[in-house]
Amino acid sequence: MAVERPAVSRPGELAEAAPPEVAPIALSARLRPALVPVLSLAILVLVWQLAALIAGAPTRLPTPGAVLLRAYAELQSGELAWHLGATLLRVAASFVLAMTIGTVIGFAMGRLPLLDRFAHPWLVFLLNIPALVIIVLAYIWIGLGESALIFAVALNKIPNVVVTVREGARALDRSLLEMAASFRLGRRKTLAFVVLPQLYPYLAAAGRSGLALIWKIVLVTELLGRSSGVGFKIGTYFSLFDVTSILAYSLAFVVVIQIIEWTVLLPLERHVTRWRR
Amino acid sequence: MSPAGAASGLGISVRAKRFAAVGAAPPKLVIKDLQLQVPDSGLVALFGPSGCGKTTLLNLIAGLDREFEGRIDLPADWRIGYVFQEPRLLPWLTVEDNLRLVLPDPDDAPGKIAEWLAAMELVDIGKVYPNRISLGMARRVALARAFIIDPDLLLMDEPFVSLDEPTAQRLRTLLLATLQAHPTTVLFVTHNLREAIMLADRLVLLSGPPSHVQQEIAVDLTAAERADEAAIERFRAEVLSQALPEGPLR
Repeated sequence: MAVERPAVSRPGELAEAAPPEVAPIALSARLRPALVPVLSLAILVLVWQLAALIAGAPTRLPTPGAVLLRAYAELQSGELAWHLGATLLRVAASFVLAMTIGTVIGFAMGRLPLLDRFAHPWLVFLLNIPALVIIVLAYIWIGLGESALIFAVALNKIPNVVVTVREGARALDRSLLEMAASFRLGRRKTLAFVVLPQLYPYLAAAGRSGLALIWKIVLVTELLGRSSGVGFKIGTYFSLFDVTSILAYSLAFVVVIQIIEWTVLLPLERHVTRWRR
Repeated sequence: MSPAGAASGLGISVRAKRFAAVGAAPPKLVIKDLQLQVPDSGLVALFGPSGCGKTTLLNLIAGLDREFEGRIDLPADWRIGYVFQEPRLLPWLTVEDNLRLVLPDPDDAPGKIAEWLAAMELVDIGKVYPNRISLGMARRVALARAFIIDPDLLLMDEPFVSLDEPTAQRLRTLLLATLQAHPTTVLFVTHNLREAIMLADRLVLLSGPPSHVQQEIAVDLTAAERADEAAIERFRAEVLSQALPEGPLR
């Protein structure tokens, strides 16, 4: 088929997969690694397209183009932005709450063995309660409102943050803490310059896995008890069996989360680890 | 300088320091009946075998470990500069920021940082992160960090260990000059008798474990003699000849 083929190990498939704007032969070796994810995404879209064509059931499995058009239509009507915004606000609130509380508890448990022994069974209990149970109970006990949603989502995430930050607090370098104590740096400076920088890798890990977990739980929570947000829309379209709209909303959300990852989380991570380079 | 420090200096009287049992290891008595006076602006070298609790003793003095029987007398307002065995710089702060961190008053930071970077011959690496500099440079930064707070007491735990000899010697000379310009009470631990003679005005030989003072030897060398290897060698022979049989030098 194509004569131009990317210099990757499986030429047959990739040559077909590569969209015309990807012209690997002309690119320098330095640029190629950056193109691998682009290529991989292109393959994903292509597989989807082929599957949709083979299935031949546009209501069950629409083509990528159809989903994109639907997303555009929803964007034009303002629906998408409104529901996306509602979900993002909930994600942000739950995320901040879970990270703050989880960090404080995790740090305390990592530093105080007695508290750790006491609170560990609670932690194991919370880690193993299904998200659905917490959501349902929060709605029953607190009522179908924003605070119940944010509480339920945060509570689902807090145990993970605690476990990760506790590891970090346990691993604090004793020799640096001694240095801080002998120079009488005081609490504020010790926390800001000695302790927190050692916790950053753990906070980053908790944050990134947290964002992925939280937005999924927010969607379920919206589906169960709210009348706005991406989860609510997906629930509605589920009852209409409108797969195109379900995919359009999912796709929009995935894109937004990825943008947050690239523009906020990754640069932040690069900034706090700049000394390693 | 402290008003009370004029005659008092540092008084150490540790009856016992134990480490609790860890796993199968039994509790360990590391220091027993150790008495030591360090006069104001005195420069005392602690010399003893490995594992005899010298680092532990420095940590007691620095207040890092308060679980022991006995007392450490030093004026409450004394600032302590501690040079650890490893430089213990914060890797996420530049050399300058590592110095800035320990200064209580941010207003006089720029001047002091410049002064100490120059004194320790570190001017070029002020904005560099510690993982990019050599061990010799990192040790100089650690010295600068200890001096920049104008310490009343300087504790040093084998500050020149694991450096090549020319580098170590350069740092000793630098330290000696710095101490002449900024008289400070100094207590330092070393395994190197020549180093102890070159720097200290008193050698304290420790035996152990459990660690206790076995012998004290005054080092009455002039500044010129301290710079002269032959004079140090002569004094070393003399020290070895008067060392007690069960001491660390035998």
